Amino acid sequence: MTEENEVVTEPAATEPVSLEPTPEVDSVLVQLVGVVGKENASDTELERIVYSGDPSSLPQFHYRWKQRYLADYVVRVQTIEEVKGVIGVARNHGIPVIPRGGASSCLGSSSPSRGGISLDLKKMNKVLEVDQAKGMVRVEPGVTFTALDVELGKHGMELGIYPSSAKSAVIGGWIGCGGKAGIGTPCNGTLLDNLVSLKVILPDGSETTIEGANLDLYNGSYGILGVIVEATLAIRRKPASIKTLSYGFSRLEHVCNTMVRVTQLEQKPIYLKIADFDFQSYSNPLEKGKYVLSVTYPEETQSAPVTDIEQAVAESGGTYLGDSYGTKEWDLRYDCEFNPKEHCDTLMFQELWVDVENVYDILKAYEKHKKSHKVPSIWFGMLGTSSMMRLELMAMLNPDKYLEFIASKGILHKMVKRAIKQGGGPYTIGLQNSIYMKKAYPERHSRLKELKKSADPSGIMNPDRVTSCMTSYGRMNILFVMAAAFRRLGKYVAR
Amino acid sequence: MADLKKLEGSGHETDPYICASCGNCTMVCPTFRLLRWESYGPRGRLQITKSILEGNQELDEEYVRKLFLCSLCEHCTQVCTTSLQLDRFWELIREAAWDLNMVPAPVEYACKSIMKYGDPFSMGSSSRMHWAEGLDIDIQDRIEQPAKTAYFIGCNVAMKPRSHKTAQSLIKILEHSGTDYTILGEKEVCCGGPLIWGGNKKHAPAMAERNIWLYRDLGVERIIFSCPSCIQSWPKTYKEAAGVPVQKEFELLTNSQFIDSLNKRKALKFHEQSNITVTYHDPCISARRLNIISEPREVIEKIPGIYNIDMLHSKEDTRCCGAHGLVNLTDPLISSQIAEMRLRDVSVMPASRVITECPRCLQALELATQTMNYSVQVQDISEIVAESLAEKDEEDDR
Ligand SMILES: Cc1cc2nc3c(=O)[nH]c(=O)nc-3n(C[C@H](O)[C@H](O)[C@H](O)COP(=O)(O)OP(=O)(O)OC[C@H]3O[C@@H](n4cnc5c(N)ncnc54)[C@H](O)[C@@H]3O)c2cc1C
Ligand code: SF4
Ligand code: SF4
Repeated sequence: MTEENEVVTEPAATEPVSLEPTPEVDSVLVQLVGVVGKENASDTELERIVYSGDPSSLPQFHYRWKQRYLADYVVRVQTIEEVKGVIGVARNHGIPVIPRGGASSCLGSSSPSRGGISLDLKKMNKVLEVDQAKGMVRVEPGVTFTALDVELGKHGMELGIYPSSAKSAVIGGWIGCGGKAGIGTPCNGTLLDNLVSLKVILPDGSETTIEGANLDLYNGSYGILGVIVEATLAIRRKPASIKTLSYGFSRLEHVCNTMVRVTQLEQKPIYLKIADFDFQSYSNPLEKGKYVLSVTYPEETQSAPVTDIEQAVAESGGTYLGDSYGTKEWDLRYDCEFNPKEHCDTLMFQELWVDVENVYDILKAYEKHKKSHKVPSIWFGMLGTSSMMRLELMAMLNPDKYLEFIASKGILHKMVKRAIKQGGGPYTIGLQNSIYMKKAYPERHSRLKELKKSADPSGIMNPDRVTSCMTSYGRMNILFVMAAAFRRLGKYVAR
Repeated sequence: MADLKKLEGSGHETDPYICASCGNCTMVCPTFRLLRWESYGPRGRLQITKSILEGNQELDEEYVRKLFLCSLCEHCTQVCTTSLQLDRFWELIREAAWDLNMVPAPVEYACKSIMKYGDPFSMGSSSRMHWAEGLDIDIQDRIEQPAKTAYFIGCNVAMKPRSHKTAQSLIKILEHSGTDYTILGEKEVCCGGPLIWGGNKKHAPAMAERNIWLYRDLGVERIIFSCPSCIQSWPKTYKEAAGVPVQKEFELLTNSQFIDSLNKRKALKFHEQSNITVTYHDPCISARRLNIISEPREVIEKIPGIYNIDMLHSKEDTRCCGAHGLVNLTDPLISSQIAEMRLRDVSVMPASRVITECPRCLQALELATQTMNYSVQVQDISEIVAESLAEKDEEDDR
């Protein structure tokens, strides 16, 4: 079998969550109201619609395979006792609980797949303790990155790591996703490196503190193991100023090589981004070159390693794009990712987690597919650690053009397989990428699966994610391979 | 969907589909920040709108209530990743609600009152000059006198006692600077803005025009407004009605822009104040729509002894006072709670006064000082300027 048509059969839906209609609507709601009060629980259609969405800008048909994509209830919690109470109600009725922060995680991470309770944690938003001497902060999960920054700023401190979705995400949601790449992570470490402890309410309603090696499993567990109700994280002094350097390159190989050389320098950047011409055209258009590399350093301890960078850039024939271009790149760090969405109905994307050394190979393949399949693709990458990059491959689509849509899915699927083969995998797992979990991260998959089985035997916590999924890798593999092939065939037929 | 046919041809029909659901707008929305249900925030409301457009949901009372609890503060528009002009979108949906007879009763009352009495409070033209009571300057000669500069008082300043001082202060500034000016007296009518916010946009241009025709007859070239929302609604209504941008015909200035222009001509003389620290609250429409950011700060800076310290959320990132978009009519309690949230931003500043340039911000923040029992003086920018002007003999001494 070639890689293209390899079929891996995996039983679908391994979790014993009931697929029966949710029992006795009233009794569940009444019990939930008993826990959180009337003003914090709802089963109106309006709230259920709102609390079932996230940024997965996929047309509705994509969701057909999800059995019940609307939550049955929406509950907002403010205390640990309330979280325990809600989990208790869910357990008694055998219905799912879907923890929800800012709902900015893509790929359906916090959207229901079997109805259940959308558990909104944004009201648990207190900064509980700032210990400047120990360099630690203790927070509730619904704290926004802005609020945390303001609070820590009063002490001249900062968290120093945050996702580019920091305007909409909350800390608990980022922990839910595992926070490997963000602004600050290349120099200050990933979220896991910065986590000191977590307080979690387990599916049986008990409270536990997670520390040390176990943090790795709970960080990035997408709410399948319980609800994070408190986190203690490392903090650091806030840099007085930063400097962003941006360079244009005419060849893909050159931007990737320079990027690798920059990651190897001793001084690590706060932020490093690469992107293609088309991606840039929607936020900060390139006047020189076809690819951009932007890199930001704190300026106080040491200044940016400008000489080393410029040497690497010169050897690759790159051009400095000017101070104001760099400043704009930094200012756009939150928004550039979704700016292209303004110009298309569906911004389909796949996020990969790949070694910086393999970025060129993946992008070369993606650009080749873009040409061969005539798919309107764009891409950008953001450094996570000194050796790994979050690479976002996007396609700007009109869902009415079904073949283009499905072919793009097929191409993105190929890219994930390529990343897995090279030791990487999908970045965000959520609902849609859970099919890749076992292949990409087999060890993590089996450890999580074991833990899930013992901690959540009735499978109420955020089902169909990470350790199991509603469809199989094999089925999706066939579908996508065929889809990509159809598109190529279509080209010849059209001719 | 028939209910939302207003969207057709508006250029906004695809907005709910363009939205990337990133959620940036949710976190800045004052109504979401207060009520904490995502359905009150812009992303949530766009999702419901999408559902209505697809026929899966009714344009029902619950949705309309949420719609009218939006203060049209434009903060969502400011942060939108996909550059949606969301405030305009909400106005369009409000128009659909108006056509369906679904707008909240107090909103309907205010809109009908504007058409009948010329103001949203049913007070009528005989109350238009109440603001001048107690003013020690004779302004009778100014009423409907030809002049190049006009002062448009606006309903909130003319009829709400707390804002009378704003108008009186501006008159003092006009007189001090020797500006020849005119006012419309009892002939002034509402700018038409609340009709747009209430969903009754089609009647708004007529209101603006009633003022504009008078100004034209008086040879007016520039108009000073004590309320930025009046400026905002004029170009909109008039432009759309007559095809001529009103800015091309008249120069439209807020209090701070006018005072700043006087300062640039050195037309104002101040006496030294005793080290007063203030914080400037940017009205949403001034900062986000009209881009009036530097002028009020420069005006404050020019008064010797007065210092401005900006709040964390200021300039384009200013936070709403809760009184715009007719929220103060739809639900006065929610409106005042939003004002309290804003006053909390003020309360962390080492400032003894909060300065603004919008009568609704002024009234909302002042009310919040009462409900929160927090002592800080709230003033219009014209007030702090007028009380810092040098007396005539002080001027002569110089
Ligand atoms: C424009 C944009 C840029 C982005 N940039 C980045 C980036 O730079 N780096 C990055 O890593 N990601 C990025 N993301 C993805 C995502 O926004 C982040 O991972 C974000 O931190 C998710 O936080 P949230 O509060 O929105 O979580 P949600 O989306 O609400 O939840 C995420 C997952 O965590 C679970 N969860 C939420 N709260 C809890 C809790 N208290 N306990 C247990 N489980 C919980 C949810 O069930 C869900 O599975 C980006 C997304 C967008 C739209
Ligand atoms: S205009 Fe203001 S109040 Fe209305 S949705 Fe936008 S942010 Fe919220
Ligand atoms: S900021 Fe714009 S794109 Fe993002 S959710 Fe709000 S409306 Fe949608």
